[in-house]
Amino acid sequence: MKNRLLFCVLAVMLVLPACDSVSQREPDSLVLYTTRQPFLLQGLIDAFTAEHGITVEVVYAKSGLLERLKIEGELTPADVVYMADYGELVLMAEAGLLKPVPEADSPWLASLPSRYRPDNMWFAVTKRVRAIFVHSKRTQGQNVAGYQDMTQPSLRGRVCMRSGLHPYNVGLLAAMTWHRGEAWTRTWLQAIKESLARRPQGNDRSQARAIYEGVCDVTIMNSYYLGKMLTSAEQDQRNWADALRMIIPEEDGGAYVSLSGTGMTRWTKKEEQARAFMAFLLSDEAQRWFMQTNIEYPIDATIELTGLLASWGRFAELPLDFVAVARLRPRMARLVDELRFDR
Amino acid sequence: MKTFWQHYGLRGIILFCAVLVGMPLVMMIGSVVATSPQDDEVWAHILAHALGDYMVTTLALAAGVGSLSAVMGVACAWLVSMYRFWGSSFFKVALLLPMAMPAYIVAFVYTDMLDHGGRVATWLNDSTGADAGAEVWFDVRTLPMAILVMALTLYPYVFALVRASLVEQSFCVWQAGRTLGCGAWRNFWLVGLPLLRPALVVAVVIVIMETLNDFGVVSAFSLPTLTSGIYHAWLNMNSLSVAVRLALLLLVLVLLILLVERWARGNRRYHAPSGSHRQMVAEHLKGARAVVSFCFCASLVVFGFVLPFVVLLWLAAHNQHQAFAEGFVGYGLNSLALSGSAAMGAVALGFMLAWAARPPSGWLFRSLMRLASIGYAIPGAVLAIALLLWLSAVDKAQNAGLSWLGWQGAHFLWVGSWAALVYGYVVRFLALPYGAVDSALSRVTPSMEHAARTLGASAWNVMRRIHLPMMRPSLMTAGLLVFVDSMKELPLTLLLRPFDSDTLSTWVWHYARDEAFAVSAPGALLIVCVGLLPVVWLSSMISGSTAKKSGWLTNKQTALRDTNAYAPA
Repeated sequence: MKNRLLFCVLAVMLVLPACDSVSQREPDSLVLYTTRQPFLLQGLIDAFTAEHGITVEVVYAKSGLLERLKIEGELTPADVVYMADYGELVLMAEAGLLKPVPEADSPWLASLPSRYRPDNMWFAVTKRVRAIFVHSKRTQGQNVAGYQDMTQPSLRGRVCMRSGLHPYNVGLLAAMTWHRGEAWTRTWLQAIKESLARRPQGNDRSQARAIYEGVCDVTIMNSYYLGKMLTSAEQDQRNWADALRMIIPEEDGGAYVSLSGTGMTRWTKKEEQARAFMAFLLSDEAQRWFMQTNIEYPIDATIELTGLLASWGRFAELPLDFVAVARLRPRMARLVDELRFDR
Repeated sequence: MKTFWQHYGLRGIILFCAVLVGMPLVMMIGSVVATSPQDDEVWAHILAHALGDYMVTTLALAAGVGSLSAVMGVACAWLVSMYRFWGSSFFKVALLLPMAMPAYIVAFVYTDMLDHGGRVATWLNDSTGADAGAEVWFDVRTLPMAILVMALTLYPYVFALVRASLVEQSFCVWQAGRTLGCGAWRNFWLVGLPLLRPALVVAVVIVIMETLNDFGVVSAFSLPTLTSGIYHAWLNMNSLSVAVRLALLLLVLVLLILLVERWARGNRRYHAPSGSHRQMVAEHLKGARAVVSFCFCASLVVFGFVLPFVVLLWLAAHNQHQAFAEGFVGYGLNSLALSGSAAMGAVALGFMLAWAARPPSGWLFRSLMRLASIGYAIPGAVLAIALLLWLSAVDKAQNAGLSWLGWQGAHFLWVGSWAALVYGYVVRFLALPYGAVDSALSRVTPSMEHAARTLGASAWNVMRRIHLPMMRPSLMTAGLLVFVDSMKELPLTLLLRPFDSDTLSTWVWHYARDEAFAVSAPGALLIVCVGLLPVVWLSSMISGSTAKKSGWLTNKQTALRDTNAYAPA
């Protein structure tokens, strides 16, 4: 008897995972693939459903969405993608996985400058800067206004970085190369390597922690991390952030920004609903949400900055050709290897 | 007279299993042949700028972990088996405990504690009154630290195998050594070590294979090994083909190590000289020797298990609310269901395979069967890529077939399904139940089966009423091992899991990477607690000196022997 019960339990365990995979979707719902995090998106999606009566099923992933779309091909259940980093959108567009949105059907497109929507294949939703952070006291009297200043001799041995191969850093290097050429970037990266206080390691937050702990005085982080640490529930993180001063490098024509962006899959059968969702991401309501929840800059320049962003103010932005920058990334990953930056 | 089923059914099973295990590898090798110019460019770059570092780090790590855990394992096994000192019988069990700790969890605990601004540094600063920044702290994310962390979690393999071998030796051997004038040290070097050599070599090979398979520790320490290179090529350089080449290189490395193991074993034989087996009489240690022995064993247990465990407990207690809010229970259930399915699947398949192979069959089927256990020698990340290639080909064929039939309904994709992940675990761990069943079957004498058949039982009945009951303990052990190993598994799970879902191990890993290990500490704690089950089981087996006969150790050894058959002769 006991054995039989055990057998039944085990048999159910064997079958359960298989059932889960073939569970049916609601016919009217929209399927979203995203690399953004649930805390950031779920509230917005609820608002969208309440407003438009369209339910959204979300697949949250950390990486590999491009591969998955490729493998699924025309069988993909996905209608919309929303990526935390635009690099993968460029690759998706190149692989023919996205479908352009005709401008005639979407009046909301006109408000977006055309470099934020290359060929209308994908659209930027928010932007951020990979900014310089210094210890507010220990770097007093030191002029650090741009990336070049990080390599000055007085900062030797005082710089911390995360792995050069992380997409954030590879993206920054690609923008530099597009703007100033590969030779400049190579020299800069070499100089940074020689100024490092420790081998590149950890993530953006752990650079802030290292500055607070006195391991180093200068680092590079995404702008929104400062906001997130300042408003964190953990005292530790607020301490780290309090030790920092942020510098948005505007030398030579403006700062390099990075984007989060959205697009419609080539095989979607719910074009209309997909367009409604993308329009919603660009609406004032959603843009304010991103500003408050993740301290990211809205893509719509007409929206008034509030909270922390207002205190940081607006900045000059370099008009990057995002597609060209994204194409430079594999080359930049190789540059990092060649200079043995992480070793 | 043989029925149709006996003729072809059994062979069908073997063939089916071989296809299941073999096809991913075939696809992998095939994909290297078909590459684009971009892939070749990336490959040339990796060859010129990264491969050297990958090889050096990987080899240094393997050599370091192998030798350090050999020293740790042999020393403590020798101490607790040959001597009696305060706590020695406790250590016989406790020294196995670190086996329950996945290495990546220990790595996170130590980096969290020892890092710049980690708990230890903060505490030191607070207690010495030094202001933040004045304290200099050592760099924890280095190769030597990684070696130490991995050795601390892997030495129990050496300890277990060497101790089982020591318990089996007759006391007469040591007595003879002492009578011929050997002191304790000389006895160890001249008599003990040569006798322990086979067990030691097998254990070190297992340790090295586990090291090569690791992804969690090397990524926590940001070390450039072949496994991290596989991810780099795939995700940064957008070249799956180059990732596959690196994966094949890793596989070659594993095969080379197995070859060395076979060569080291040679044709030596280790027989007990006489039938008389006298139980070991442990010598009583006193004074400084006892203190040193105690401290040595205690430090292994403390740093390998107690300290990380206490830290986990403390973190878990402080973060339980957030963990529950994060859906901790759901991830736990995912892990349990997945590991349970994997254990069931692997045991069922392993049993069928070993049972079907019982009648002596030709070389083709023998080698097909050996193929079934090669999964254990393949690092998880490599196997994951192979499975991705294979399953996406199946998906494409399946859907082409469905649309040809005019089926337009809901399509099912194997890639990214729970079923695919279970499949991955089964392929990776099939060697464990297969080895257990194989060795258990060898103890069922043919006369038992003949007697049953003479009494009118069908082949099915013989299996159900004779073979199954006799093998139940072995099957249970094997199932338990697959269960625990699947729970801990990281690289394969990361690549194959459904993208919108996590298991305990991936959840722990993601938070740890975000410098927020504390949040997922309850998950880590659960993995460790489940891992304790087989450890307790194992310790009771070794003490009874039955480990060799019923299960665990033989499983890993048989797995090794069979994968070994693939090393080029």
